[in-house]
Amino acid sequence: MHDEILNELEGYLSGEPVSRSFTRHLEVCPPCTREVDEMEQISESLHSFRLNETEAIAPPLGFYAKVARSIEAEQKSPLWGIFAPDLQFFRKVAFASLMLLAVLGSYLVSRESDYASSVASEQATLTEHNGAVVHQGPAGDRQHMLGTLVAYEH
Amino acid sequence: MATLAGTLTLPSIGNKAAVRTRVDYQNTQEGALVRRAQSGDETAFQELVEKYQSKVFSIIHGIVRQRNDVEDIAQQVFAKVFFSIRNFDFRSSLITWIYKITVNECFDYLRKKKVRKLVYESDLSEDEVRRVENTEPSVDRQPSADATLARRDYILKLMSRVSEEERALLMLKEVEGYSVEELADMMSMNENTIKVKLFRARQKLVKASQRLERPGLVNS
Repeated sequence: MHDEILNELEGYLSGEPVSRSFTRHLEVCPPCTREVDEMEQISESLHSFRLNETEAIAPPLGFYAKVARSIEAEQKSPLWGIFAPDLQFFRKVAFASLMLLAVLGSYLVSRESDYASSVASEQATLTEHNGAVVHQGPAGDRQHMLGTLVAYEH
Repeated sequence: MATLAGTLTLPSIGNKAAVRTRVDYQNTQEGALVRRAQSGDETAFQELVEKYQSKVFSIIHGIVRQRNDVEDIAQQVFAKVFFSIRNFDFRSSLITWIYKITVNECFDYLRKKKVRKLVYESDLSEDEVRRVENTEPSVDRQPSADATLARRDYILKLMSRVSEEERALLMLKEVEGYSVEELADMMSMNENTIKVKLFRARQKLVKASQRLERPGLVNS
């Protein structure tokens, strides 16, 4: 829908007078005309929710007492206990859950990096000692044995 | 349409456009009553119920059109008001807030009633369903009454396709007859925002009507 229609649409649907540019646009723009027509029909249908003066119902005497009784009944209902907490309560639960998630997340991340560095150092030690075996003869054997023990200890 | 108390239009210097002040609902007499109710004062809550009960009854009857159910729904509405009044934040007027609760309670009721009817009818034979439909008290078998009912059913279906906020806004505009200016005051929103929200809601209704099978009565 074009802006010249959009600006005055609510006034038009309420039966207020509209500008010349509004009517002129409707004359030359079939998509806008179609949409406005549809909206007008729906707007008229919505008027069916209006009440005539003769249709009005007066609240019965003692209506408040009935409201109070229904509130009391709902308060006693165990089901209400689940839904009774206000928005603040749910906000607190959401905040606590987020905090727990953050703590768990950071713990997992720190463990992951510790594990990665320990694996890397073990592999470096082993590579170093394997290299020593090849090139250093009996002294290398001793180094290799020590390296194996260190890795085993870890 | 009566203008809201407390609405001021002030001319701005060097500009022809008027600047609208936001209505401070918190510092009105009603605001004080609400605060008392929020702090658990039962007398204040009773005053609120007595002040708005007629309005709530009218809104419900306008939507539901079942005299027998109006009182039950109204009780539900005020129970909801009681349990959630602590969350009322004065961003809109109290009646706007109660209006929203009432409209949504009505649509909730109609949805539940439809489900109950479907479950009930699924247990009946075709002949029994026909007999039940012919003995429904609200249905006057005259064609015009049928047409009105079909039209109402149709628009209720359409209205169930928009959000709670859009529904309340459309009802306030089309049924209660508030202007965009008044709605902007009631909702503490800009007039353009109200126009855009209403336009989007109307577009959704048009799209929904294109998808739904029309009873051919909308033009009547």
